[in-house]
Amino acid sequence: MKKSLLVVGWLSLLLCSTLSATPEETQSIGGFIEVYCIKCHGPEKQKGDRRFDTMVLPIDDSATLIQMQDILDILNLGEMPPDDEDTQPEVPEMLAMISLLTETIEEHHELLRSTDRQTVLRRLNRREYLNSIRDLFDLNVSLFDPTQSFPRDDAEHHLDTLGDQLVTSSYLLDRYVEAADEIIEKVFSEEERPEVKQWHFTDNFRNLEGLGTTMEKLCNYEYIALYEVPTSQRHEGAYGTIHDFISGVPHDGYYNIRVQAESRNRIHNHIPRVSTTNPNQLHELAIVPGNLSVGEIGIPQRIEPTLASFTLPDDEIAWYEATVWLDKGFTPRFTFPNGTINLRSAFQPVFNEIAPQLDEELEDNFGNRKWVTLKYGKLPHIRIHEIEIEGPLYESWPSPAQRSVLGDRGFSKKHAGQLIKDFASRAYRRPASTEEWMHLMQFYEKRIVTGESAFQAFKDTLKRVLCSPGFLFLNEPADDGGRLDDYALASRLSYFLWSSMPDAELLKLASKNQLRKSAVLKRQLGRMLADEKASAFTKNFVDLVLTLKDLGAQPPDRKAYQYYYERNLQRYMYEETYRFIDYIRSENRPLDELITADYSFINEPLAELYGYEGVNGLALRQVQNQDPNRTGILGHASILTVTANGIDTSPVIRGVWMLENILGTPPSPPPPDVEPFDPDTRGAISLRDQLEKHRSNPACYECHRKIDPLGFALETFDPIGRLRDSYKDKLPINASGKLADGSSFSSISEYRDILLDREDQITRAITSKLLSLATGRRMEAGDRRELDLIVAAQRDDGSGFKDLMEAMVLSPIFQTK
Amino acid sequence: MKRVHFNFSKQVSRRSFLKGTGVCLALPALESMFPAFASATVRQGPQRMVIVGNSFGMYQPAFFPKEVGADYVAPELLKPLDGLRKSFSIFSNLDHGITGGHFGVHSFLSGVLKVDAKNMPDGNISLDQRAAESVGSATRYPTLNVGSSSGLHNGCQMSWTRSGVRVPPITGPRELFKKLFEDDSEGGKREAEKRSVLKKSILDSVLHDANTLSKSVTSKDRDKLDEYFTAVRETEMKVEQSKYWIDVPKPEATIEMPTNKGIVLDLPMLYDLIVLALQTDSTRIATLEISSEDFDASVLGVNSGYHLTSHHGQEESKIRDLVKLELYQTQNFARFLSKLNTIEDETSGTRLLDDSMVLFGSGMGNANSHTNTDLPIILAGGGFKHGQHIALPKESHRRVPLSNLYLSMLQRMGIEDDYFAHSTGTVTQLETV
Repeated sequence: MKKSLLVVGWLSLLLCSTLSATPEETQSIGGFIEVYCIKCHGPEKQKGDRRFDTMVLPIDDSATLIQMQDILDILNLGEMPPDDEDTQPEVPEMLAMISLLTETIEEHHELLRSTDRQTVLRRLNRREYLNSIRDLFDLNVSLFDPTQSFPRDDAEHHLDTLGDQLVTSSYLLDRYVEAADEIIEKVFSEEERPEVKQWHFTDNFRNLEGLGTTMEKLCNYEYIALYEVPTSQRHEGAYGTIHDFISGVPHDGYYNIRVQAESRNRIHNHIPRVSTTNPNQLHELAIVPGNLSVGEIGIPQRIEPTLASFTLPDDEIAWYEATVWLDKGFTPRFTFPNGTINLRSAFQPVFNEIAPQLDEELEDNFGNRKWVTLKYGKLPHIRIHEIEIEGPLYESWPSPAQRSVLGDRGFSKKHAGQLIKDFASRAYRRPASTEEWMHLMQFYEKRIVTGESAFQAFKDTLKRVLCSPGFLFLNEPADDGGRLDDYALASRLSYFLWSSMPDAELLKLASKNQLRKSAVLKRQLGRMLADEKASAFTKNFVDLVLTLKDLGAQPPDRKAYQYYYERNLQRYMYEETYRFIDYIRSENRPLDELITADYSFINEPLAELYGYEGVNGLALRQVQNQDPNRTGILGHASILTVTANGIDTSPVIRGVWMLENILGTPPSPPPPDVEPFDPDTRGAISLRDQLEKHRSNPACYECHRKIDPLGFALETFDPIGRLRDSYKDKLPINASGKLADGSSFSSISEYRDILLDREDQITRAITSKLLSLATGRRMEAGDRRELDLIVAAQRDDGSGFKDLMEAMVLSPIFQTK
Repeated sequence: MKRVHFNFSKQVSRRSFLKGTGVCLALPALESMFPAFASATVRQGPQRMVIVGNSFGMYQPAFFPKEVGADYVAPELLKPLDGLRKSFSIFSNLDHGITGGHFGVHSFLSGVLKVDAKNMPDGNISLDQRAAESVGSATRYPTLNVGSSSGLHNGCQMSWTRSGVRVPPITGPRELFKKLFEDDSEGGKREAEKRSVLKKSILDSVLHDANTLSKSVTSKDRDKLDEYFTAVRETEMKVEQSKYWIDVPKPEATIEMPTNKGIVLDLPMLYDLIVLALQTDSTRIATLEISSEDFDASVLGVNSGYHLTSHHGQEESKIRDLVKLELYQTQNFARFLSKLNTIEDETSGTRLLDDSMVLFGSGMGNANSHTNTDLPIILAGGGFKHGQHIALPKESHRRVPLSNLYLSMLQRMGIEDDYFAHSTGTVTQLETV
């Protein structure tokens, strides 16, 4: 696709009109070069070995592209034309040329990236792989992650499904083989139904981390004491472990856990140094898994979902019970999600207060300070006195995972062929071809010849299936018009909504060529969204579209933002946005509520952060906003934290985030070599004024006039999303700004009104991202018409998110390769 | 400059490819690969490479000397190294011409941002991995990558394979010790052998599926499938190579198994283990990444985190703290160099440092302004003439890419490439002894 010089000229005219008029002849790249550059870089002279008169426009090879980039860089630096040259471009003329060149180069890069509106054969990414394994084997993967050592998938603007981006390296392939081995051996690890056992623990509760021998002195290890929140730094009394059960359960399965526990000293008036717990909140006790073989048991581990949690009444010893899934080797651990942040900081002040009142004279040393505090300090804590465990509890045997492969008959040599064929067909999400089957059987026979038993050979063949491109890649056969066949459509639908493989119903419809019918497709969409597996869609929206996958990548500084850790805010921030998006999706709310919603989902720690009244406890619930600043997701602490760097906020980062993720117009990267923005936080001038200065550089102006104002309004919020009216150095916040199109705002609510005027743009940006995720390719210029049709339908009254999903799934973009 | 990229997967059959590597396997050591550097008077051991990097750079005013040439006055951060002045060079005005702040740091050893990798003939392969390709299976580990695996934005992310995958580092001294010295049990070895047989037959067999698939897909898809073919072949090769080492006993440990104490306290031990790895020829290429994960700055008397400190905002007290954290790193680096400088290679009789190119640097130039320019770069040992502060041209159109230095290093390794990433040649100021 070539763009004529005429079009380029027109474009530049358009751009210039917003600035000021420039001489017509220098409005095109060719004209500009002719007037200002050719004298020294033309047929006569080639200063610096550069010659531009032979350059062919528009760009159609990389040599020209490099030359263009060169010209742009040097103009950005203001190095050319040289000062002593008589003919100099005016500033607006220069700005227009810089933006024209930037845009032209960007367009060319886009062309390079283009996949001609087709999905390139794409492999499953990590999350899709894991979910597919879960569904293929009906396996509980809550504590099992064979993809842990897979390399991170390459993502572009957080999209992790782009076929051309997802690389298959030998390193990854090696991991695939290892993972296949691990999975199959796990599924078949128990030949017989494991015996149900009971364990009973009443003492010898040695905490491995933190409290140590003080507990011996205090109670001879007769109870577990929990003090700190799991997000504390030292984890002293943060993870209660069962010392005599430290190597975990002997088999995978459900276990019934009974705990006798007691909450102590909940109501207190300690200073924060002694305890940071909220005296108005009942203590919570949670059970999380731990695994000695992956690392220390007294600190957080990578796999640590909350298995169960209980709210404890005050000072009452009672039993609590839950049935939880544990993989072999995992032991239950107990935590105190609303505990204190730093137990150790209490020792000195408590000792100073209490020691003089004691009969015994105690030396002021660490051991005594600790003992006195735990003994007499009346610190809020939880005690666990007794624990009973029973399991593994299976409703039936063979396990669901084994039955998913072997059916009810179990394995026999006679049926091996059929079992292999059935398994491969499910793994490949379409019937395995005769040729494929033949190769699998050859492999099976060969393993037997090598000396393996028939069953081992069968298992090895299953591993072989999991390493086949048939399983690892989403092959999408299409007819001549590019329309996907029914099986490919079934996979596209299920990986979009469930991030996993199609279920039996979808495959059955595909086998009858029914799925492509609009009515059937709509019905399936409704069914799939109602399934709990659709939580994967919400999670993708939150993680990839709203980029919360990065929440925690730049954790707030522990000292400056201790509150974040005291209240375990990262988790609740994420959950707020997750619950919000899930609500929009399941209740068919209009998409503009992303900007306008006057409600959200919060708990007490978030309410404290937001300054809300009347929200108690750790459970999140729907709440009417009490502060107009919090309207929509731009008031969510999660978004405001992920767009800060954990230390301070930058209107640039937040502005770029708005452009990339909400408005769908990502800015070009900063030009090389220009004087970078070097923040000075000593307090003499505000960041805003420093940016103002930065923008006065023409090279920076073009992009920053679009970026910075979008970030200014959000300056009202600090790096963890708290409202503020001045910076740390007391300079006042100024949340006003003027967008590149001239519209100006004086506050965040006026800013939202402006965004609302761009409703279509926002809908288009989000639709485009979702369709990229679904199809595994970038949306390109040629997709614009279809996108606009989908967006237009959203404008109808009463149209909500589900309608948007339906329009997407029915669109040709979704249904073609 | 136009480069031709050969796609070997088209011309060379898989079998002949494997046969080729079989020959390589039989080589006991690779000394014979460096005839160009061997001479009658200078004895030489196998060439080695060690690279140390961090994620936040070095505070530039305390790192770069004001004077150019041999008679520079060592600024604060270089003082610990001053006793070894003759054994290293310091470079200024070197970088990859890349922007991106924290998101550019990962290009330190590759010269290429991962997003741009696919337009490059060798992707964003890093210096260590490129060098490792020449060592092959001459040592048990082609490379040992050590240090922080995570940290701010996933840490340094220094090492990348040809196909654009990050090589994750071994994080603690304990794990590294086990890798170097702990032999598998006899049962473990037979198990490993059985697994490698299974692995090989799986890899052999899945190619049938890929061939079947290849017949029915579009040409763009076929390119993608080629990636899979290549991956299968490379994995087969690696399985073959590691099989060779299953029954070769590991060297005996001369130290006790260490415990992990977090990157700050572990740093001396990690360096010591790297020395041992080189000394025992367990590897010839090692990297060490230092990032903010588990970086307990309080051990060094600094109360805020490493990342926060690096955002000094020109505040003097914060700059002092930052320099403290960095000084600790150059001190340990100096200790490492002196060790290499005293230990002899048993077979060649040369000092380890003479045959080890040791690079120290970062993908971050100035952490306060998030620039990836003017990177702090030190090169020590490796048989180069050292002792200078080499200042390369500052002007934008005369700048020398950092990749030129890497190319010099690769050529010193005996690799006859004429480019690396965006290199325009080698660093001419750097001469061999």
